[in-house]
Amino acid sequence: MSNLKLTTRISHVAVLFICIVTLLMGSTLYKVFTLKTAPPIQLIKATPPATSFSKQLATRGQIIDRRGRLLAASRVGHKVFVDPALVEDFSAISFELGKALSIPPAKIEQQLRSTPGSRYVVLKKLVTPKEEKAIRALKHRCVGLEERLVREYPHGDIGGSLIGLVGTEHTGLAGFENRYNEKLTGTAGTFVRQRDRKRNTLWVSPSDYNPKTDGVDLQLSIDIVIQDIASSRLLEEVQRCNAGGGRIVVANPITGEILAMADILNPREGWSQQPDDPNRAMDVRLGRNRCVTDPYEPGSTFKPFIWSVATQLGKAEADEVLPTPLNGPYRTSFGRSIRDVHYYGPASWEKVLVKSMNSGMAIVSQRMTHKELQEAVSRFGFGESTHIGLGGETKGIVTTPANWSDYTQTSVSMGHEIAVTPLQMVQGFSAFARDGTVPQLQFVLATDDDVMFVRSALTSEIAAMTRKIMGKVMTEGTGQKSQSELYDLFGKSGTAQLPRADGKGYFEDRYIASFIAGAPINDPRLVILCVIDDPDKSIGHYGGVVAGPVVRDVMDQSLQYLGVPPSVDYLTTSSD
Amino acid sequence: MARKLIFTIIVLSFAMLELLVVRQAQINTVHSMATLHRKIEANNEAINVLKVQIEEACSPSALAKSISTENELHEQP
Repeated sequence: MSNLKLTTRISHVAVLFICIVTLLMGSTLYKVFTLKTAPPIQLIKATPPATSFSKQLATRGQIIDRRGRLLAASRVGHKVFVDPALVEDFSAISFELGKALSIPPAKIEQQLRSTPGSRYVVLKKLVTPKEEKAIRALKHRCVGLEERLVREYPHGDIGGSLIGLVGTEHTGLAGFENRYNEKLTGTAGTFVRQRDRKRNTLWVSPSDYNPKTDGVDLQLSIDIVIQDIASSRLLEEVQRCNAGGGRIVVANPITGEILAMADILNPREGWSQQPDDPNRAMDVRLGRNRCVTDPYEPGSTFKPFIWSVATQLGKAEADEVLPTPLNGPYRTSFGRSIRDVHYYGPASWEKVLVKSMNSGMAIVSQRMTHKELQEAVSRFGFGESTHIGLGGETKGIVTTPANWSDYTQTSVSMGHEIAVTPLQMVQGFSAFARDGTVPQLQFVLATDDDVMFVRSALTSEIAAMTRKIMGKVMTEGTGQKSQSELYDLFGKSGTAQLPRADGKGYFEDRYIASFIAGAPINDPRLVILCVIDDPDKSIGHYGGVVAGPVVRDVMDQSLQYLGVPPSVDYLTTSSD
Repeated sequence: MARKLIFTIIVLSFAMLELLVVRQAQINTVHSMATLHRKIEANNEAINVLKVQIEEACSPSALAKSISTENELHEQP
């Protein structure tokens, strides 16, 4: 009986216990429910939001040179902003911020008070790590640090106009930054975090997480060391000659890769860039890259192209003696007077190129039909884009067949009445350094899988012959002052009159001096073109005197840097 | 019947406790992941800054400057 009673009592206690537990759990659930659905205002005010939306900045792709050296890279920086609505004491906060950011407190206070109603006042767009630490130490609710991307250019101005720059939104504005903006730009990531009262991350739902995608790196064909060699030597020469400007292009003729390219303007009285480039005044990197955009008259540097095609067409043999004048100008069949710098009398077709004789070029050009000469111009790529992919590239200026006259025929054979860009010149000249084919120029590093697009301009025999004769230009002709003591160069100088800005003819005593060369002659590794705009005539104006030494020095230093053994026995030469 | 009920309650309570422990472990893991993620980001950022500094120090102009300074020092008697 007593056992039954005990059992009954236990049952009652158990039921009571269950009831109490159920009640407690029920009340807890009810509380949770009410807190979730209708929390009290005091609680909302006292607790920060349970979730927060975060943005992950995607890093912009790096730009690196052909050897993997960093040319442009992004890092995360911070800007400081203040929410004036949360500021309790403007003077106190201004004083503290002024101390942390090294800005006069009065200026900060004025800035905060001058924008009533604003919740976002940026005090400094980019803070240093030290300033960032000081701001974090303040721990003010009204002060915030916002992440932003910062683009760094570790090599400063070297290759600046090629690499370009980014704007405040981190989008490319010029150069490669602009050309490959889509590839370099990444996609920002987003995620929603559940946070506790101390704002620690509690939970990130997979569906609320979109990871960032960083931009793709870009490897250029540019070599920053050769770029530095080329641009500093060019600058030196432009300053020495008090020239209006200068341009230089260094290319590998075998792969068509551009290794260096520089465009310098000398803000000198009496010479201005034509057409005007207001963007350049703001930032050199925003201006036109004249190696790509601005054609110039090549003068005698154009002669090898016509010379080689005429030879290939059988219009003249290298050893054929032409009736070039002994003194005084040569008169063409249509009465045009052609002047030479020096008169040598009857000279071989080879000597015409070595001594850069206008009369000889005019004689042989008259043996060619207009169509043959027009084709000679176009087979090297003149008059059309190089398709290198840089913005603003021009095709140069080539007289149309309809306007092509006998006068044009003789002018073009001497490199007049035609305008080419430095890029076109380097591309065409590469045919002599190769087997007569013209390579596709490129700025992005070529890989083994890349298909090289080439066009045939000359037979390999004619290309080799022209190269050999251009080697004599360096030893016996107009390039003697530009001959290297280390490497056998082949090249050609050019001096053309400077066209007037109004398009009405040329200046009588102002010039564009240029020089183009390749080396070593037996196994060409580099082709370099230098153009000096309007050098001071009293210092020098011939291509072989002004631009040639630049090409020689850049060639010497670049080939040594590339580990190419000297092709001239310079030890013997120097001991002589 | 009552014994079965008590037993069920106790088992269910333990099961709920275990679930709470698992949930807490999950939260701790996510928190650690978030912390680690931030550390990785910070380290990557530091690497980026270092890369730029190394590049600046090794740039042709900086090297030329160092070499000329070195040469000047050697030329001094």
